[in-house]
Amino acid sequence: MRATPESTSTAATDKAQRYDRQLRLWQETGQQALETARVSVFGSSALAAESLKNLILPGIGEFVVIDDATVGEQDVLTNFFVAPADLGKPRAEAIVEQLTELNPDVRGSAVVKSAESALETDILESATLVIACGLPAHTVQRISRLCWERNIALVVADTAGFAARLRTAIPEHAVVESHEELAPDLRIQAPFPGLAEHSDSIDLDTLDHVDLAHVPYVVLVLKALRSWATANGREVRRDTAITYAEKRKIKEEILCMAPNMDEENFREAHDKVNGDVIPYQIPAEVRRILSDPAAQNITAKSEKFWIMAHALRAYMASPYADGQLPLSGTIPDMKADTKSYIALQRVYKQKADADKAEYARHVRESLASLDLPPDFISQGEIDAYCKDARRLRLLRFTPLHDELESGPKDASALVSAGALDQYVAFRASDVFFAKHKRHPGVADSSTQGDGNDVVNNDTAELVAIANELLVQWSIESEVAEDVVRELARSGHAELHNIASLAGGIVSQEAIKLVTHQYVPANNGCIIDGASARIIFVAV
Amino acid sequence: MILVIGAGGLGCEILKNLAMTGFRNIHVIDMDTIDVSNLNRQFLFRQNDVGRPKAEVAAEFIKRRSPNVSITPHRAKIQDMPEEFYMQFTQVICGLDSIEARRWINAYLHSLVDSHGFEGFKPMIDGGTEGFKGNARVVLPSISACFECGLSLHGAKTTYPICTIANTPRLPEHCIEWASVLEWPRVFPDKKLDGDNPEHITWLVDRASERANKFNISGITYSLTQGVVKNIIPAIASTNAIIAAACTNEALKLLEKSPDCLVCGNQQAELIEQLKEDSVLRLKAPTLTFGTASLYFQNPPALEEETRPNLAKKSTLTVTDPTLPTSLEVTVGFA
Repeated sequence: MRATPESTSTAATDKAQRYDRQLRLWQETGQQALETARVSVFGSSALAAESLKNLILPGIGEFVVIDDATVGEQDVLTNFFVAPADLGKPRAEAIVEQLTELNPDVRGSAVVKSAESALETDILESATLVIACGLPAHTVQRISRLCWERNIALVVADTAGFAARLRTAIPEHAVVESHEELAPDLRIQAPFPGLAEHSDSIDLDTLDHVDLAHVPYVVLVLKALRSWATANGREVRRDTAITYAEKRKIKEEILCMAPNMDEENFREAHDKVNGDVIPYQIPAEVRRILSDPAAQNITAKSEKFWIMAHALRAYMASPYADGQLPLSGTIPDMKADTKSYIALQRVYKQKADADKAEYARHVRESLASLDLPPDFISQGEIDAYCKDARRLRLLRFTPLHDELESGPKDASALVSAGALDQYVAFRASDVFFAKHKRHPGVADSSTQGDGNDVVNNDTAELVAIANELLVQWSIESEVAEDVVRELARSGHAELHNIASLAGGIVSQEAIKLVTHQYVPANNGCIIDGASARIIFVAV
Repeated sequence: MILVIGAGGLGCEILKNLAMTGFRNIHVIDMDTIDVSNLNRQFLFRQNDVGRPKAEVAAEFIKRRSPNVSITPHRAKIQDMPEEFYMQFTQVICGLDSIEARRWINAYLHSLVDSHGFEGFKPMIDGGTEGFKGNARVVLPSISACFECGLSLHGAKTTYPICTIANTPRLPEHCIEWASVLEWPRVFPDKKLDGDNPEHITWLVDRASERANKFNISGITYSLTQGVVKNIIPAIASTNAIIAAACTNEALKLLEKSPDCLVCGNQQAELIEQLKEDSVLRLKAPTLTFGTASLYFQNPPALEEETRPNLAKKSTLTVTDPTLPTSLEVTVGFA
């Protein structure tokens, strides 16, 4: 090769190579969050192991597995991360040994204790995230209370045959980089001064044929809108609703401006009118965040997210911003020559930079009012907040311990999601276990008759419990017996494949919670493998 | 017997799930070798395996963990395998990233139905992921909607017009395409560009940066360059786990039918053999009589020879029972 690289500084490092496919999703900031996270996992069944696998591979910092179970025959059949040679060993140790092999960067350890006895120690001390798999309801309640008090994200999961359930809880979870797919913020209907000037500076009549074919569509739409408004005596403000019929007139305006419709930029302008000529709106989620008491009243103990929301309120109330969010400054590709495109890009970039500087001033003021140092919030954090101001998301969960104590907060959501039968069957199974100290469908010395008798008897009892719960939750319906029977028939057995599916969802949610990127599900999920359904529902 | 196409992110998960679910006879086909960037999700591979064929390493790992599973790796292109290869499977489960390969296998499995009728009917389960998203779909060739039917759902691959690349670059991607599509073949007419060769990518980064600077375009990075050149799709372990398990769950439902099933099976065991195998009766050489007529003698040889054709004479006895959704036809032969 003639040209050899001068140095390898631009080449990807080993780590960047290993994590390349995920860094393209959550970038260095997300990776950093993952690598400094510590996850505590209660349970060491296939569900726990599969959830952990998907966190260890992308490089979670550290994990600890808490369980006093020993490896039995059944584990060898269902848990990929225990080997036949592990029979009789503590299962937590067995899976930690196999799992740490997946990624040399990750540290893992086992605590061979029951969940209950481990909770007597400071096991949650430095946890970023807690995952609890297949624990009895009273232990889940205890963990849930502890995590809720300490503001630790919790994901609880459980499988029984072809069914599984998940629940996520944390008092509050704020997301800046939600990666929500939104149309670009072009402000065509109410161009900022720099954009209006730029558009005015281009005189289509003086352009030759070639240059005319290279004017970016944004400029063409701006001009068509202006000339339509002038011709019709309309004043277009940023909140003016322009009807579809009016948009057709604007499109005709573009057709008149075009030398011929073979020009791709005019065609593009014509096609973009419907989507881009829209009133300026602040997304409902962002409005909710801005009007939240936590954004209105900040203290030195407020989360950075809220200090920045507070500053955003002040910014938007200022004459400079006039109620608009900072501009993100990114524009999509469009038909244009390099010079015209770069010039337009610069117009948006300059406005975005000016907005950012103005917003940064408000952040510093907010920090000063709290006696916090100006660098308490970094420039990088301010940049991200401005860039994604339209995508800010805030989730408030309901505590799981309350749900287990007194029923779902919104049972009607379960009904409309079609998840009620599965949900109440699981809850009845919790009650059954608390009473009998065995899972429904599992024969032991206390049960009578053969396996079929046990399933029949337990089904009858579960149905009665479930219907009682439904009455307590004021739901006027009875549980579907076949769903309950299937749960009893499963004997709470763990199927590898369902554990793997549920583990996939547990780990996806865990990654979203740890990286504070993308939007986690709030708050429940029912998996019904028999009918190939995964239902996310707010319980 | 099930065929797994692809031993990558989805393939590793699918193989594990099949083995742990109880599938005992699995074939896996993949033409690729292991790259460092696979290790963030393809959990059957380790750093030491880099450069080795994916199908082989995956099969070795599964065999070590589950010695009862027969798993046969094929390092080959799916397009190169003969018809006899595909005909031996009862279903096909795909974990492929390339749309082209998925279209090919979908069309091929349809062609098997065309040429072999029912014998060529191989249900296909297609899984695909991109970042946090994914899909799993069962295709029953010639019965259900197929992969091609839903092709538009996958969106077109990002391409850049040559005139933009050559004359009016606007994005860093345009400069990278210029360096890889136009400059590389011009400077190195005899050398194929390798997206995994850091020297090649670095050369492209340098050329693209020069061009970007000239046009006041910013944003050329090593990662972006490699992403554009290789058309990299983001992939993570958790999404693969979800989709692969959804695929395997459907595979379980499509399991090979039981040969002695009363409804869909075609049980043709001979009555004589059944009588001999009956553990309660413990017969050795039964002779059959129908009413007063002798049907079949085991001995002496002359009589055996004389009565043997009677076994081929048949009449049908129809059995119905409240437990049977269809009637059961028992074919009885008698003189």
